[in-house]
Amino acid sequence: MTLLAPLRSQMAAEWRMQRRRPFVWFCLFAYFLLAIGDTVQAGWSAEGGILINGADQIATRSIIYSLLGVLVAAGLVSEPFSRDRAHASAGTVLTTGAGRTTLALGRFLVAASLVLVSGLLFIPGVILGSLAPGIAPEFVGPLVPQHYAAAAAIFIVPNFLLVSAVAFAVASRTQSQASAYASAIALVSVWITVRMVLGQDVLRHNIFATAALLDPFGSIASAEFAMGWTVAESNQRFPPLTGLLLANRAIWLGIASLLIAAGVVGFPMRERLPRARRKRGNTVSRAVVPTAVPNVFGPLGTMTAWECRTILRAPGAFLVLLLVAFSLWWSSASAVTHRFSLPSTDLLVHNTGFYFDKILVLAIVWLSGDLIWRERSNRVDPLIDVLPTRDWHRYASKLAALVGVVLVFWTLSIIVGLLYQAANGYYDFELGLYITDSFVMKAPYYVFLSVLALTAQVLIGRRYIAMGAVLLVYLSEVVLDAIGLHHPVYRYGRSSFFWYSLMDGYGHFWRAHLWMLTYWSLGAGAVCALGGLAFSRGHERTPGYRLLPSRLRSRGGLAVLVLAVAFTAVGTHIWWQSTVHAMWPRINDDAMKAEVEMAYGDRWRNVPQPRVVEMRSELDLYPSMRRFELRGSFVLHNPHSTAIDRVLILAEPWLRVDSLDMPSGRIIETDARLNAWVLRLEEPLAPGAETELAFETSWSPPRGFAVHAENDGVPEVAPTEVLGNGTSLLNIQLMPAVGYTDRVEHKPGWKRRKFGLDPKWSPPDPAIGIGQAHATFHLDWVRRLEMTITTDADQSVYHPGRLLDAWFTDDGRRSFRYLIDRPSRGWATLVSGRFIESRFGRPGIPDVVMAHDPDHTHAVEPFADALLDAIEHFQDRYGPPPFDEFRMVEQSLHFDGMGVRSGMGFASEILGWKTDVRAGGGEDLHEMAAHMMGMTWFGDQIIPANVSGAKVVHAGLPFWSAQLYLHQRREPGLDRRLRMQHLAEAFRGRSSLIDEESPFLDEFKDSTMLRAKGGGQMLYLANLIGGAEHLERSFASFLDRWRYRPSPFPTARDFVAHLRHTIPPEHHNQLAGIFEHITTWSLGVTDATIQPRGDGRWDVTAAFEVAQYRTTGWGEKNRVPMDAVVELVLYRDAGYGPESVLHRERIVPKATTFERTWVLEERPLRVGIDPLLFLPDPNPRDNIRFLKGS
Amino acid sequence: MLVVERLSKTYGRGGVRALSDIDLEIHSGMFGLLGPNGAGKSTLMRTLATLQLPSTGSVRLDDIDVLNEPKRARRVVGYLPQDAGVYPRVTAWEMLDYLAGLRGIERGRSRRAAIATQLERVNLADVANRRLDTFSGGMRQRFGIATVFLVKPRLVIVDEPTAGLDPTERRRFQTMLAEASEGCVLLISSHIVEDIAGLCSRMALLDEGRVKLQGEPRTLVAELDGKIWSRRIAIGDLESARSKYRLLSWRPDAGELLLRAHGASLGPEGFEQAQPDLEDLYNLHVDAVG
Repeated sequence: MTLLAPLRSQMAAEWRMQRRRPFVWFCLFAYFLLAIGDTVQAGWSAEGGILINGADQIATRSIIYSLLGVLVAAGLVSEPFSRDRAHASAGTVLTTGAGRTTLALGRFLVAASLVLVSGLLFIPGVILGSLAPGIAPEFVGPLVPQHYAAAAAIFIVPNFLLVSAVAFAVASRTQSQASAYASAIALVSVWITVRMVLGQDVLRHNIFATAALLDPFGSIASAEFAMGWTVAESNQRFPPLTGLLLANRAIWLGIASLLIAAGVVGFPMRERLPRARRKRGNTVSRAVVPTAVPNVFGPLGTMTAWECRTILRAPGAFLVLLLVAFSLWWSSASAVTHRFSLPSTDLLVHNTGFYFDKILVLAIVWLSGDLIWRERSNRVDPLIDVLPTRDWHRYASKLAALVGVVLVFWTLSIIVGLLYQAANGYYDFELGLYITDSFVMKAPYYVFLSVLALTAQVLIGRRYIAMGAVLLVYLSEVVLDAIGLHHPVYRYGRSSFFWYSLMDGYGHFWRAHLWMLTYWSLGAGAVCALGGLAFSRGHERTPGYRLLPSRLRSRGGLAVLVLAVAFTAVGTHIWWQSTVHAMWPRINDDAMKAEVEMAYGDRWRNVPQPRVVEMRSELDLYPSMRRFELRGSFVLHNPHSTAIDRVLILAEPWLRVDSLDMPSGRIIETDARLNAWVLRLEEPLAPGAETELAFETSWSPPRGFAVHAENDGVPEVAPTEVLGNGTSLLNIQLMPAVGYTDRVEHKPGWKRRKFGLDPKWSPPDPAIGIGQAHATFHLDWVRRLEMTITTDADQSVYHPGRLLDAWFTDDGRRSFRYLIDRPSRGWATLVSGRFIESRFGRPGIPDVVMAHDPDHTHAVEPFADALLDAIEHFQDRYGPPPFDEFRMVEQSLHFDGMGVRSGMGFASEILGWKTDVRAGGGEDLHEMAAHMMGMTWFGDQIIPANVSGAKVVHAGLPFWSAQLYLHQRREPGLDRRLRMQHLAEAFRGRSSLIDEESPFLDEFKDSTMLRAKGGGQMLYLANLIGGAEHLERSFASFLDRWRYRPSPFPTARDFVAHLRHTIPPEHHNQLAGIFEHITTWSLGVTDATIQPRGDGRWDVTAAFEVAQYRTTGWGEKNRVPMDAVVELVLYRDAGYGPESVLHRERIVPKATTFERTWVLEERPLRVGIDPLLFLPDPNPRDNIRFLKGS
Repeated sequence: MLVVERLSKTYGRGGVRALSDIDLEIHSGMFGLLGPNGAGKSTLMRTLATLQLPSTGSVRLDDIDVLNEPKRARRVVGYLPQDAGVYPRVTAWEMLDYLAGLRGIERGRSRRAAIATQLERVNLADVANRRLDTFSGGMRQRFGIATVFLVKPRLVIVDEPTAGLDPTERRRFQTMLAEASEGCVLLISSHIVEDIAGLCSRMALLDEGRVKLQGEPRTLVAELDGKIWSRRIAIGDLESARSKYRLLSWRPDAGELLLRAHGASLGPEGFEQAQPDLEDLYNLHVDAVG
């Protein structure tokens, strides 16, 4: 009672003080709004099956909010402990007779409660946000109070308590808010470091448990189970408080308790006197001081320097910069490691998109208030106001200081980038790119925001309301995105969005950027002038907006008017250029496809159409003018048993079709918007007959300029667009297509609903699909493909096939004629750029030609070696290659990704060409090479039928053959490690799938599951039947059977039937598990002991747990009896190769848990079940266990 | 010379009338503005310092129209407000250097000399590199004087300068002001009579926004000669004395109360004649004892 009464009194007093702090209300309000805004954004942009009220979503977001909570905790908890020192009230407080516990604990309990309340406001914020209009109910899901309660109990309360305890322990001892902020940042740094060490995209699974325990916020531990969950599981199951998560929470709550105790003990009970600095002499002399009239700009410089100095001396300024530097370093590591890429500047300049920009925005918002209000807060305003300075100097100096902060941030980003490069042995510093990207491309937005933030403070005259207003402007983009208003002309400070390309630089995007920069410079100039006019000195605290009307009548008002008129004029010009003279809104490919389906799907889906069997075209490419013209013709063949009298022609929405001409054909229907035509053939095309379709197409850049927004969902470069350097075009996208294709049809139900289509997509009728080429209905086996391409004089063009001729035209341009005269799928990519070429060869296999930017030579040789290795292997296993030489060509980043067509591979500048062979051993090059050869051998020589399961032949076979090759060439430990990463990524991806998964036999879309899971399962199959080579022989015989076969084309069922013929019958039941169901396993060693026997041998006992599941499309699991053969292996050492295997046996486990005992001559080190991870298991970490015992 | 004519200030529409038709004519030297809290002293000071505009009236400093030429005025005006604050984490030298820059003193030897001179003058040279937020109240006030006299001002306005200072600091500060007032108008406002009495050659008494009287303190006090009386009474007799006499002040003295009263002849009532002082004048005009 004697202790409680003073404690209660202290807490009541503390509550009174805290509730009067604007910062407290700001934190509560900000947290609540953040949760609402975040939820609304998530709801408006939701895709797939993840629910806002889904259990794992709630868990994940509560952890993220805990991280944000460190600053709140530092601010709320540290103030009560620095208060006495700041206000010299220690004497009064300490002489009351209250003890440490009363004073320290009382203050802490109130502050920590406020921190917890702010954290818990996350829950009503999310619930309220999920009720926002425009969020489809299927993305919200049922509200399960237990999930929110669990989030509060497992994450929010412990994490917020921990961060409060850290701030308390430090602030109580030091009485310094800066130290508390530093400790909070240190806590986040611990989390970041642990995450960095564990890896971001590629996890180091061997240290997972350690990292999970060291993570103060429990984010890693929560993934112990959730990492492998499906969408359905993620929605329904909350990470259980067991295992690593339980241990983690116990450890960190224990640490929090110790810190609270330390905070109480450390609370100083004697007044701490301010520390005086050591006396430092100044060289002084008495002199008569002249009274001078200050010049115009001298005081401006003095005041700017002063403002900058005071900002830098603020507590936490350097800590914030340190945090920024740390986050940039972490982003750099993440950006490059997952692809084992060199830390080149073009990658590192994107690191500012992670935490950097958010911290900078917060800094601007906070400092704008501080700068405007600091004189009044510190009561020095009369001293300053009476000085003979101009008002606009005062305002301009504060603005300059704020802009200085922006520049310091961006300079820091450059410095960290350079240091990171140097630390990683990369010395190709591109300072020019750093400076341009930072100061011309990105920093202006923050400068404009600074102007707005400062002006808001002046005009509104209320510090926190002004800060909130600026944050609302910043966050309004979320709303604008959600309602589809993407044009940067009405997004304050935003320029046209685009990426830097190594090959093309900023290319044609400069124009839009400079116009937008001019536009917002004028806009920000007008805002700045308003702020300058409204800025006032003196004690009459009139908000700027009241002073403005009278001041606008001055010369300054004229300046505002001029700027506003110029701003409007430039804005109108941009609007005109980007909407009337260019296409805005940009073509939304998804919406257009849905429209094509609605217009033509029912009418044309099963109408017989001719197929292309020959293609001939001449392409005039003008990279410098960014346009092309194409003249071409198809030879069309009627493979059907009925005559064809109508032909549907469809073209890419970006393509301009200048003419279509068919003998006896007449256009009877035109849809210019959808680029569709219907031709009636006066003489129907008889079965087996051929005819010709001649066409002219073109593309040229708009008269105006295109603008882009980051989240408009539209690529900044259309597939038919030409760039100055590194253009990559797919031939069939430059030409019209004949007939309707279900490629345009959206498959996921949510997407079909979004575009007003029937939510249920139906696969094609098997009777018709068996005769259709999957993905490209209008192409049959093309017997001759001829392409002549003329490009700019300084560029080369690469295209598959034989290069028949290359010459200079009369006007100095370069022409190339290519021919493919063996059967082909008709696909070809052409790439034009300023290249150098290197040729690599080995006896007995075709050469590899590498065409690349002259500066990108680092990985050319290992890349070519990887391609040659792969060609050698595929030729050995699957027969002669379908090309005379393999070309590998670099393309601009704007044409995303990589691919291969008819013996020519292409990869964007960031893939392969910048591989850091030293860091990753060149494995990504081998993977790229393997996949390219898989696609070439199986994709170019077999046409899959357009029926359910088409992806097994279309994507599965190429990928699986690549996996078999990689499995054989890799060291077993590396192979296992990479497979574990693939599996982990696949299962992590499974928790955020945007469409339902299908059994392989029904798979129609390009599924990552098919690759990741299927890859392992093929190895599993190979292992069962005696090794990869056995399965490769089976693949080879399938290829032999279907190579260049006309319709009817092979199906997934043909492939499975083929496997049944070539693998022993005792393994046929495994085929059902792989192809007919979505099957996953859960395999683990739960215990393993070893005991020496008296005779020199060893008794080994191991316990196992196994389960086999079949899951629904969204991942609801159903346990089924185990029928898979699994391997139990005892290893003598840490390796995975045959030499490390001491004992191996195969069993079909009959029980879910079982025990095995062995007597061995030699001592084993580890035991494993399916140790090489062939079977898809979401938690592969427990497949191996070290033996324990004497 | 500072001339204030018919200066009035009303806050808000139809609100508080803080100043009402103030007329003052102030020559070089120290001029005291005496008045109780809320009399309008700070409003008048801020107006003279160009920090706010009056509702009506004019202010001239020699040839400068202070209200219409604030930029000119600020070059020659120094202002030390009541309870001025300091920037955190800034040393005395840095702050003076900053202010000197804004006052137009060129960077270099002359500015360093000016700063050093002022710091020595206010006896802060030893703590030039100490943070201002660690200064005591007296040190801050002295520092304030240094900021005002960085250049030679023609008008110095010092608002409630000695509030909160101990007697030693107060004396030191008063001496400093007396030294500094040579060649300029030094306007000092205070509700502490002692400050004005000891320092100012002329003064005005301000109450409820009006100038109650102005002149030389000695002359004004002399008008009370023979009218000030003192007497000891028991503490319990105060209320009857208040109702009976025009009391100006009282204070405890050896277990009794020592009264001072105003009147033509209070001798028969047991009072003794006393020497009048400025405090009597102040109490008489502002009705300090209610």
